[in-house]
Amino acid sequence: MVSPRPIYLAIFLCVGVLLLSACEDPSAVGLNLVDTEGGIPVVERVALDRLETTTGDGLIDNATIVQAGFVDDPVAGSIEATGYIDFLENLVLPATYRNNPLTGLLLRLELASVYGDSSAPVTFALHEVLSEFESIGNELEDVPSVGPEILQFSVNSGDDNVLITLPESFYAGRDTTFRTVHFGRSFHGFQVRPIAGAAVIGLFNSVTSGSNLRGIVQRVEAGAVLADTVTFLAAKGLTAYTRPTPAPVRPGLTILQQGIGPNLAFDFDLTAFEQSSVNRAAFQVTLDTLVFENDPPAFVRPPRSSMVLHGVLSDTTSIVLAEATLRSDGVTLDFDSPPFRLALQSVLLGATPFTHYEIRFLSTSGNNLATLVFKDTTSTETPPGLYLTTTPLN
Amino acid sequence: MSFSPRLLFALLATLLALVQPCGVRAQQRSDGSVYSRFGIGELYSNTSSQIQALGGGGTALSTFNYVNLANPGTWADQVVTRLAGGVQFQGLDIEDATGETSRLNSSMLGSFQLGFPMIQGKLGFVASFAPYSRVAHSVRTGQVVIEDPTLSAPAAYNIRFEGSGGLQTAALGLGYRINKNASVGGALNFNFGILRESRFTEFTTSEFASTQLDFSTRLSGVSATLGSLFTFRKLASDNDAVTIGLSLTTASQIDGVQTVTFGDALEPDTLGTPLRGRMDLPLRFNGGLAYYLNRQWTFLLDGTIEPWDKLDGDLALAGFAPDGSSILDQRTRLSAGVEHLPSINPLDSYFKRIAYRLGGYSDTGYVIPQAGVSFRTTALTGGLSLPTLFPGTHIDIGFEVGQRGSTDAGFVRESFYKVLVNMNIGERWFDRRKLG
Repeated sequence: MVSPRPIYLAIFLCVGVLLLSACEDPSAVGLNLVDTEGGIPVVERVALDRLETTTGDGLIDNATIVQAGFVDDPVAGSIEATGYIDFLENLVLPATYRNNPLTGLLLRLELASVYGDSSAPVTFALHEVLSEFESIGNELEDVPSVGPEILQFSVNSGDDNVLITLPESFYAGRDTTFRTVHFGRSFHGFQVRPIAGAAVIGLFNSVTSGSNLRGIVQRVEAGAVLADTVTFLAAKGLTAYTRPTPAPVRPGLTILQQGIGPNLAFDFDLTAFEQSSVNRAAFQVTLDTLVFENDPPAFVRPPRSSMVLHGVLSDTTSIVLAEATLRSDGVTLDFDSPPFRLALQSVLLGATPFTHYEIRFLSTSGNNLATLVFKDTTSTETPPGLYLTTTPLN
Repeated sequence: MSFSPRLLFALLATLLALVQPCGVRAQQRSDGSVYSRFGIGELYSNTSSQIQALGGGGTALSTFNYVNLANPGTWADQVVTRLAGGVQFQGLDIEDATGETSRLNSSMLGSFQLGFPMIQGKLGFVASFAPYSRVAHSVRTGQVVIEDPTLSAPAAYNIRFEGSGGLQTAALGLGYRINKNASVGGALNFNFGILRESRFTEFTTSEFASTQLDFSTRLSGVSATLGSLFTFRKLASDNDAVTIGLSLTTASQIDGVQTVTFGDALEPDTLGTPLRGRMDLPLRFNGGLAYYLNRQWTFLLDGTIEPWDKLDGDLALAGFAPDGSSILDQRTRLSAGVEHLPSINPLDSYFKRIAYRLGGYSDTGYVIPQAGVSFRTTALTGGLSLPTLFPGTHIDIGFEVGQRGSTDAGFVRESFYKVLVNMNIGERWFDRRKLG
């Protein structure tokens, strides 16, 4: 018999040996030889060690919707909203528009939301804004000054939009302002102020951008009267809110409103878990929907967006930890996500010093004033709580 | 210098085949003896593929065909450059007193050796890389139900305890023949590696994140091995001989760093400050006797003593605490074996040129969990040495079947079998051409 070539034989045998190493199937056999202390997970309910609401008045930065109106909410109290809208310069004005006198100015407002009594019209006063304003970074005292009332107009909650014809007296003598590409230097938009009615109406949605200002000029050409229209899109908005009367006190309940707040701020005492590994973290809050059953007839509440749990650092920056899921019971919100678990693990290791946590609406700029009522820590049945599953490390 | 391309190809292919898959698997898997969790793990007797098949003890065995790592005193007798390496597969059945069993399979890299004569028959050099110990065990609890009020259904978890890693030894040494009856040798050993004990809390549902906690001990240190071989020829006949071998591996002070981490295996978080310390590994004494009836029959007896009860250090290991509480004890290993080579004539049939080996050993281990209970290992070994087209090159296949421990006092009995494959390449390198 001829001796085999060593390389082939070696490779064959090595491959054979590796193929033989099939699988591992550990079991409890031999457990007595292992130090089995520790490693047992426990589920504990961690109560909130404080719960409070942040302020809920003022101006909303970078708001999606410009609102105006007055509402007396039996749950959330009364709110008065005054809206400010400015328009984008049009850089491609046709020569026929620039060179002919202005004969009409139309304000089109798109109705974006309704909050309150939908059975009666809401009347607004329109004022010209006299100074440039910003849609972000405002304080309460930054509300822009306005000129005298231009006109009043009414809106029905069922309308899709409202078209307002501005009086000639408004643009007479300065119609060139609205026929130049730089009209934004001398015109800063309108204020919409509630006069009568019992609803807050959204008048401009920056997402759909259906509100605008239209300038109309007329010219005669070959004996015929022709009209040219130029549209200036509404591009910037601001809403100033006040709460003339606060929400009625309801023991055991905390009220949040989308947009103006307040937000729900709270903290946990996690010192008992510092040497633990976090397997699961689920924060649970319960809504009270029964309070809305006493709403007046035709009282409309805007739909709410999802709720989000934030961790807030000492420099006030916040980190999104979890988005709520609503259970089939319609009242239980669960905040449960891997980032939330990892964040709490980081807190337990002393790596992430959250000062507190907050529940906010997902879209802070979606200021439609949707209202949520939570059962708070004094609730005897379903107070908010953190269900923490941890494995002690030692 | 003559250099065989075939040898180079064989060397590279063998190394790739051995190192790539086996090295990775050996690092990642925890599928060995549960007793390996104690001390620094299951100890390995690194000798040669020939000696492994003869019971694993070969302090006195001198042969031109193998590099014997057990005794540097045998390294003087080298006539060709020799390269050897191998893999082993182990099947393990673990049984407890209730009759419950667990079956684990694994493969791992064996030792790697390079030796060549510096002065033929007088002075030889050896470099080696070999496992010193291996920690590889995995046991887990049954599933336990856990209820979280925020979930609609209960979940379950189990806890898995796993050990992995081990120490390796990289050694360099020389063997020198003093006269025809005596040779001596010495080697410098660098011992290093990581011992890892892990605890996994594993959930059956994705709502829970599993927890992994690792206790890692990184160790490194140096020791020396001194050996001697004494040869006595023509005792009962003109062809017979007896060799007596002695070797001593000095106690090794190894430095260690213990770290506790938890979390994701890729990005673990370290808990606390790593603990630095040292361990004094005990010395190892080997003594053996080999009787060569002729060139066809070889008989071996061998013994090893390691006083693990003298282990000292300030790092805690399973079974050993720095305060002196320890369940470690002196290890004694005895082995015997016999090899038969039917023919030394290269023109004889292939099967007559195969060397047949049989042996056995008994190893007390170095852990005495309680009085009257030992983790003794008893095994039968054997193997074949298959000649190849190239003189001096062999493929060695070995096997080992044995038992370790007992089911007394709540412990377990392990029945294992091993298959070992070694490539042993011998060629003349570094020789000046005498013609042309």
